Amino acid sequence: MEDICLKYRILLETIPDIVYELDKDGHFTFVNSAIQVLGYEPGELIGIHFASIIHPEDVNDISRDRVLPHFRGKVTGDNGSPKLFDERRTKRRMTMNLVARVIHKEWTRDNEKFIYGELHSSGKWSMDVNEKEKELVGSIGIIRDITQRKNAEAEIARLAMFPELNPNAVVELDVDGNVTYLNPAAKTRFSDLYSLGIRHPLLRDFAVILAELQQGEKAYTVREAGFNRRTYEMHISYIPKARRLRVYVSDITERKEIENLKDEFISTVSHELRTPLSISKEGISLVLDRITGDINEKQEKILKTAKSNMDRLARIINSLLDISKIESGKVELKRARVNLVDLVRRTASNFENAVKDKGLKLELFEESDTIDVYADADGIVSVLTNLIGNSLKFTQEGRLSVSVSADGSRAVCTVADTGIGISAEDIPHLFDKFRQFGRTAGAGDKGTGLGLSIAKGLVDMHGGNMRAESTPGKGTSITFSLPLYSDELKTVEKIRANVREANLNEQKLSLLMVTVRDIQTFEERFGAAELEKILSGIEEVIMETIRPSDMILEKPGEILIVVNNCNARCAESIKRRLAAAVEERMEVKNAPAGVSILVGVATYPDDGGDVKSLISKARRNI
Amino acid sequence: MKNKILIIEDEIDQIMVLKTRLEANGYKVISATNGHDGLKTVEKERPNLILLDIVMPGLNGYEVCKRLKSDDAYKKIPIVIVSASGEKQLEEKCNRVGVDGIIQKPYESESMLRMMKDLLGKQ
Repeated sequence: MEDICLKYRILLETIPDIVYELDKDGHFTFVNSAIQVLGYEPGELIGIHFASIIHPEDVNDISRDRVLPHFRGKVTGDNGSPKLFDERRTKRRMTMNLVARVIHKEWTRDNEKFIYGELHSSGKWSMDVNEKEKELVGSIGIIRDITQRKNAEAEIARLAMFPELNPNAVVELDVDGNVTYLNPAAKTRFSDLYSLGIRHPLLRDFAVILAELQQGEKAYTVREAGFNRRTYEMHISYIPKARRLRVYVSDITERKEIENLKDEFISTVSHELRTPLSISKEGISLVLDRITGDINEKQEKILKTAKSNMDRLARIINSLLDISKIESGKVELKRARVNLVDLVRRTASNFENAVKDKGLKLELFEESDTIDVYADADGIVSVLTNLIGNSLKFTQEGRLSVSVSADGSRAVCTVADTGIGISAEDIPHLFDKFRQFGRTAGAGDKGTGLGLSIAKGLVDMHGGNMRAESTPGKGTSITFSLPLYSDELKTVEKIRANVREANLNEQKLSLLMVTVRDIQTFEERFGAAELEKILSGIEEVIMETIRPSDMILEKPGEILIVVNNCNARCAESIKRRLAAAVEERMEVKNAPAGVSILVGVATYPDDGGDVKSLISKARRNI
Repeated sequence: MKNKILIIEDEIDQIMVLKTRLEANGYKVISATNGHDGLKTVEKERPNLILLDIVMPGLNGYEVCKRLKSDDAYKKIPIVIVSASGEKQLEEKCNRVGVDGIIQKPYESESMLRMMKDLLGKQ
């Protein structure tokens, strides 16, 4: 018996909940040491009424009047003290989860020190088996501290208010494409979202987006979609734990209009500015060239200054146009397989004289003679020209160096100098528009402040990146990287360009992978030459029957066709037509019997958005 | 015999500076301020070379060029487009209508004169 008592006593003193016992009038007869969390010593509360540890505002909430209407049966025990919840006079133990603020000993109205307590209790009845009616002799209960849970609930409720109150549409979907939540704005703006789900124009790319977010490292993605003559921008995030997609939709129609206006404006203004510029420049030149008569030295000096500033104005206008085109994505790169080392050598040689004139050295470090990239040669030359030009401008003594190397799948190029350098605060702003650093007073080629932005923009468009490092007084080095050339890269980029078109026109496109059945056996039996003939025959057929947007021969024996504005059904019909046409052609040309082709199909965006996975899908479908 | 140059351009100031430059280099200069007048002047004056602006009210430069090049009587006259437009498609569009040379504004008079000399020399 004593062991059991001891066990329970230890238990009582160990559990974190406050355990108490009250007499039939509600005064404490026992409380465990957990009460210390409220600043009391257990002994202090003996004889004190339970209500004194309850927040005055909550006392009524847990009063008998409030609670008892929930229960049938008579209740006795009414002696004027605060009426607390009481137990029914049933013989069953009753537990009631009530929540009230339980106050600390030091609680005052000005210093609200309390915990949120969940109250569970049960009646104690006299054990007299002879009595007909059991008498309530008291109650036992526990108070559980649920402050943390309450705070969390309050926080959740507070956060839940945000999507509710968000004037932009907020939509939540599960991974199967069912709409699980729509905020009021979504319900008003896009009333069919609930019924249409991912068939709604806004969620057209659902499968692609889900795949991208689930597989990739991005936490969220941004997409644009248009319908009903409005353009929307959607920020989409994936919550792996809940397996939900959350979409925040904002209407950017006006913003797009402004962007278009801005581009048109810049084009028009550039155009308009060039004519008076041209007239002024030629006017000054005519006087300078003494065509209008002789001029003195002073007049010559001033006119020369005027003319060179005309040239500077022209450069600024050109740069403005360039950067505007880059920013609006309107630049069309003419990419081809080019040797970066070649481009570096070419550009560096242009600076030879200027470098020498300034008493500096220009060194080239080439890891190898050939480092091929898939790039727009003119674009890369302009990047190099800008970087080397900057180094030249800001270096008074020492040397400039350009190094090119290959690192894994990237080509890396660094232009470094021993010039005046850039301070740590200026480096983050280096690629901003119209930022000029270390403006030198005095004569010299004044820049436009746009060169580095344009250079970085061009490198970014190639899928590369650019960064700068510098120590003021010691020198600066700017490094950019570009993807190395590979046939795969070229293919992927070509297809990507087509995919961009498809997006712009809100169309689908299809990839078809064509190959000869049992190609290896064929080659063994009939030889490579015969295979070659067959393949070119197939190419002819493809060009004639389909007139594809693009035909790419990625691997020997595999022909990849891109057909714009072609959905899955269209692709299937092309597949059939192609198979029939090839068969016919093979017969006509007396090809070895049994030559037939295999065609695998993948459609964008239905089968995914990533070009590489579309290609493998087409290959797998063969 | 001086070579006769026809300038078709809607900005009079541009005509003025061009004329000054060309006359100082031994050319005779006539001008028209729009496409229609330009075509009439070609018929009347038979210039040896035409400097043509693109953006003009009424007929634009491409149109004028197309018409002249499709006319046996005038297709041999070299046409040089002088344009303020920086668009990448400029070259393409010009080639499509049979232009003989392109000068971008603002221009270096040296290179313009050289181009003209080359084109006239081939005549």
